[in-house]
Amino acid sequence: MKTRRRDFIKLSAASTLAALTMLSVQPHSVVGRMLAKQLLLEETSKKPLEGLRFVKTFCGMCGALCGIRVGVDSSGRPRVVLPLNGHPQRGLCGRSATAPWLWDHPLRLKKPMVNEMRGEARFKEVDWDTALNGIASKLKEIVSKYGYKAIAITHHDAWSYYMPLFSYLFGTPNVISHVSMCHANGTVARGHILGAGGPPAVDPDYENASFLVLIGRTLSTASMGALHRARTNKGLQIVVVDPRMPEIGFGDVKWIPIIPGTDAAFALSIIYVLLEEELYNADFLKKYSNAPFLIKPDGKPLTEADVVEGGDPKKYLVFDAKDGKLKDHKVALDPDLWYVGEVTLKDGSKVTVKTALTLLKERASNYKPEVAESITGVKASEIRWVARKLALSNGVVDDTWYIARNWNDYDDVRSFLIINVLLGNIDKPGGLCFQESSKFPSVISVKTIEGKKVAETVYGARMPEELFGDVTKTRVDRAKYPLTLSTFDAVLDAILEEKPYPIKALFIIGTNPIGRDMNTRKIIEAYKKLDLLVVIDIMPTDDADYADYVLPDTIFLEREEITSTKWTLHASVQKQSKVVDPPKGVDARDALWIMFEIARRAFPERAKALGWDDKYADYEVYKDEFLHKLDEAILSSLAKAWNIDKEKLKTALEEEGYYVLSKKKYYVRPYKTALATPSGKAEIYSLAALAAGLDPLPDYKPPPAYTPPKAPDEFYLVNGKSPLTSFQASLMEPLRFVGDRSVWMNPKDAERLGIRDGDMVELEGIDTGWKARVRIRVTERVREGVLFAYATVCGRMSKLIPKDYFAREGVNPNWFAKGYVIPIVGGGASNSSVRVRKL
Amino acid sequence: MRLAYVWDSRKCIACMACVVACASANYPELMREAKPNPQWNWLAGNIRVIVGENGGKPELRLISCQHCENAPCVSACPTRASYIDRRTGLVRIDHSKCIGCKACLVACPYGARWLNPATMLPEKCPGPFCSKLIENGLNPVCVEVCPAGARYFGDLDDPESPVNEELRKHRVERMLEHLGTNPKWFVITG
Amino acid sequence: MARSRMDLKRLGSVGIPLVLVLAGLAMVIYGFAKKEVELHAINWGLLVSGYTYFALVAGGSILVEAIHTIFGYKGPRGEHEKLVRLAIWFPIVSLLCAWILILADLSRPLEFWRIFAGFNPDSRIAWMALLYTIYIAALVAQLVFLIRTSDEERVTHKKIEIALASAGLVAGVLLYTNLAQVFGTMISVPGWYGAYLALYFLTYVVVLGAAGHALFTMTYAWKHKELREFVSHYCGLVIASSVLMLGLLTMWGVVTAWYNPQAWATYSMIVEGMYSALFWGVVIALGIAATFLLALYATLRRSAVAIVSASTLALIAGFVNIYLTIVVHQTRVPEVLSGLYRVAEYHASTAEILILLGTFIIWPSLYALGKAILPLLPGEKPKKLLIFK
Repeated sequence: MKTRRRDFIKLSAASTLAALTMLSVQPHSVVGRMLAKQLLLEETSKKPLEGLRFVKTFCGMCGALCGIRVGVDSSGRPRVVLPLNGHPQRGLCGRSATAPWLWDHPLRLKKPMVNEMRGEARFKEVDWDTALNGIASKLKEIVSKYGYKAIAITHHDAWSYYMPLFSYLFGTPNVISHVSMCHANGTVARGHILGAGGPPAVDPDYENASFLVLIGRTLSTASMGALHRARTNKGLQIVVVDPRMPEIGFGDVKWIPIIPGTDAAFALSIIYVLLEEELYNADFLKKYSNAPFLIKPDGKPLTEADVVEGGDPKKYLVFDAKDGKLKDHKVALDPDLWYVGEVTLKDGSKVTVKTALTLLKERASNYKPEVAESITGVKASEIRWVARKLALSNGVVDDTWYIARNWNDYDDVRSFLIINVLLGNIDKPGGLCFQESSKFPSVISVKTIEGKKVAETVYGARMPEELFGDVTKTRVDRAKYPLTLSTFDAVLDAILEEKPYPIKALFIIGTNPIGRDMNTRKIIEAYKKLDLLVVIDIMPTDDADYADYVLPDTIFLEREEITSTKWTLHASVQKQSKVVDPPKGVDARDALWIMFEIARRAFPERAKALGWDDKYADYEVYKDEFLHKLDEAILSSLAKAWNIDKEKLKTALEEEGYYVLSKKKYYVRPYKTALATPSGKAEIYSLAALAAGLDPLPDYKPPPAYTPPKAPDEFYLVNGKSPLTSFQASLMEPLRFVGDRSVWMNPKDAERLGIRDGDMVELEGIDTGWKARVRIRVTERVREGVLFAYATVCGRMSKLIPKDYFAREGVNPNWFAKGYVIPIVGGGASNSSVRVRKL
Repeated sequence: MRLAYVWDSRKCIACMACVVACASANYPELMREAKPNPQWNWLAGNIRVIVGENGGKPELRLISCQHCENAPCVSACPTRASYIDRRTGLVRIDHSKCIGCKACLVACPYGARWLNPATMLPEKCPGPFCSKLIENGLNPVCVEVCPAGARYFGDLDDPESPVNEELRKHRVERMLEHLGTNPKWFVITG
Repeated sequence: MARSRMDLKRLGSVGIPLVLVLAGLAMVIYGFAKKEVELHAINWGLLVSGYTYFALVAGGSILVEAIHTIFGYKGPRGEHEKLVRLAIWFPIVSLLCAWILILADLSRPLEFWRIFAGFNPDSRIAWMALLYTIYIAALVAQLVFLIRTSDEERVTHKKIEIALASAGLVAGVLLYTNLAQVFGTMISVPGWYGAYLALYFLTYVVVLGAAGHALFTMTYAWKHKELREFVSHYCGLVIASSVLMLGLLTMWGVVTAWYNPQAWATYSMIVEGMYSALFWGVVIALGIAATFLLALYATLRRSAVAIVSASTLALIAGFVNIYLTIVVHQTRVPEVLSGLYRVAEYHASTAEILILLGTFIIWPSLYALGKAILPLLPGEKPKKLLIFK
């Protein structure tokens, strides 16, 4: 009896002790965690997977705008991005796939903010009225002192359609985008050789091509639509010429490593082979190019005005082999491509004329393959192989997109285009083709109505000439670089030097100059000198730190817009349909609304003249009525231009997300329609360049944009893109793992310097002196003597980004770029040279 | 039915759309954690990427469950939580039977499985979302998103399926074939 | 007065081990709740190593089953006979510790019954569960039998005793070869792959079983000269003879790996890389050489100090070697592209260390608890609830 009681006491004492021990270690967390795991398991297997609602739209994670459909779950969160099959430019790439993380990203800009100390990012959240009124009053002050032209706006692809509208809204000509750091050099070249415009204006016909040469273009970087057409073309052979192996090189693509900045020598060497071995398309050159034009010793073309008094200076003369006479090229039956002879001018003097083709060959003869080999590092046999293959396979050389590299890129692209002209593979299936215009209405155009000049918007608002302000004044970049499409560096000059006149206010909309432009110090200096800096964006940028106001823009998932499909040869339009509203806590508003609201508060009559009613101050009213008005106007314009039913077009866009207005028609330009060049032909000898004071023929010039590397620890630093690089994508969570924030080094160089894969080194810009630490990736993917870093993905400096955030790793290649702008053309150069120091 | 994957290494551009889409579609909750997939130090997704540098042109490989017909993970599983679905031929995990012994994770020579940091149970292709797609006769997300047309999915037992069409036309290899796993994940090499 | 002092002593001998066992369990449960997936983690780490260690130690029951029961060695003055119940209790305790660790390694330990519900005959681990069940049943049955029967009854029921022992022996041998092949069938880990681990584990069973038995039994035998000398001599003999075999098999593994580049990738880390000091210093020098010499001395001189030292070294070195064998080979496995290796890392987390420490606290405490409530010492008889004293 007693023993049992004692046992019982022992037992209960022991159990109590045990229970107390367990309680003291928080069993609710133990048990809770175990239970939670069980629950999570059940949750996972029962999740309503079929509950996704898909919305057809186009992507905005880079500037390509490929067709996608976005799956939204039952809680209203975007979950997955899938391609829009059937879309002429279907997605998608790694950037697009990260879009679900953008929507409620913890770093997303949520509320308007005012900066209490510029440069220090001491932001305070304010309401919209405070921010907009503050900006408006500052603008009024600036305009009263310096005029409307003191306002500058810089942008990229987001809201680009509305930029001309903003120009009139604020009465300033200074709407200057990123183009000098992107495709400016190539676009001027396209204009000069083919009378074409931006990168999509002409493009290789990827789906029908048989041999594609990519020089300074990766194809795998953006426009998955183009990439899709190229890679599903089973018969297409691709060669990529680049100092580094781009992503497309992982496939069955031949990679030819080349010394940076020498593309023109490579291309001119190909031109030499084509001309020497008579692999050119004589027929095409005779009829559709200015190859047979006779050029005088002064470099100008021989025209009727030279030989006949009162002759037409627009009648360019050729030597007709049919009857041995000089004739206007439009009527000559068989222009001699190689004529060299004496001609008597109207004043009786005699001059020797040569055909443009002869001059081209003379130029190209400086780059015979063996010579080109010593310049480019590419074997002569390889150059010959590419040239012959181009001719025999009826190949095409890509006209490039991003090409702000070494300063001599304008000549590079001219020579690429000339190769295509020599092959005669223009506007033919598989060749370099002109995009069909979608006849998309301009957002605003100047018209004369009842004798008066007005600027009429697409939705019918009219601004009288009296309100134009400074719109017609010379833009600051055109003042310095007459041919440029946009050179932001000129804006910095106007801020710092106040030449040609001062810029005092800058709006940065959906772009980041520090990330995209050269000479980082100059940019920061300029920001500090401004009277007003406003950043309108979705995620933190390095520039935001210097802004007076940072305003949250909507993201593409929250917008509705109709645009042209960029990267297709067909005439096509596409619709961005709203996928989600901004998440709770994010009071983001369209930049379009923001700019109009600022204008309404600062210059009410201007806003009113452009159709902005006071009621649009209410954001919901703006969305319901103003945007609706805009869309209807665009649809009406398209329907009219294409003679189709507006409702049919509207429905197709809403249901399918795109509408192909007209399929690509081949053999149109320059065959049936003249090109927008001075001669109306494809110009291997650029008359527009000549008129602008540039060399009419391309040449290779070693780039002065950076000091060439010499010492064993000095390297070229080239940069490029990937299907993961864009400013907003690089901050997305998946990029923590799939992003590459290293600098690439060739194994031979690494061995020489004693650097191993993963080592940290210090890079020092030879021209800028900027020092930065970065991890080295030792890889065969980059040529000897060259380092490579991805642009846009790394080296973030903004104080809005936490110190340990992965995007701070790595380098922004622009830190090391001197800031050299090509005279006249206005293109920038982002490559540089650096010194490496092992840590 | 023997469902299989084909990956065309000639076309792949390492865009990572498949890698990211797999994570966003299948494991969205994990992708909001600080360490979504600590074991791989990667996304919470079923596709991992390696680049081999052996002196020549670097080689890319995308690795996910190979759906072996002689799967070491299936032999290793004590509770039959990992099993070969008789209907589809795919290697599947029934998490309700899994005790988390991690034998399957150890056994897989491809390193295609990863430990879910929330449940501490193994994960692999196909994830929950793609399983549902496959059940409905659709392609998994990775095949759907590929912009380069480098991925195919289909039934090896169906002569007209996309995988058989590709297998007929090209030279293929299977990874770690010498181990006898008999994988149903083909790499087109030429 | 005397009775209350004895009760207090009794309370202490039960209460203290009980509290320690519960404390150990609390540490295990707490550690389990804190488990996380670490960066670049391998899959089987400290817990599986600890589990394997305790499982191998538990194999020492063959010393009783084979040598004592089946082959009838009772010791020169029946010492083995006297210690037989302690000798069976020890592997039971070790096995329970092994189970604690392996359950703690599972993500859903309460679902372990699914192994029986699902039972995949291709899976080594499924067979582990079955064989463990048979093995512990045999051990418990033997213990109950030994407790319940008097010396005379045992003679009558000799057949039952031998049957139970044989079942235990067979189950044991199958169990340890199967345990080895849990690792040995993994084609994914070249450092393990092959049939060699089976022999290795069986040899380890003898060495660690004898070492554990010597160490734990000595807590009682120390006070009794003839028992003390017997344990020193007998265990010393077993350890001395088997540890050389262990050394040979260890080097055999190294030599075989030398010819297999994929296995050498990790073996080299153990033999000449970052773990070489541990390997040569602890596993070989202390665990093989010093253990052999001390065990030999223990045999010849019947020295308790020598056998305790030898056993301690053998157990420590055994744990280190098992840890290296299990962990290191998972840190570099061949990737799908030849020449490349998938590199993983392992750093035992605080949670895992807590679980292991908890188990190491339970190990002697549970043994002591058994000694306190079960009639395991020579001469003790069951008084309550069939088997308790």
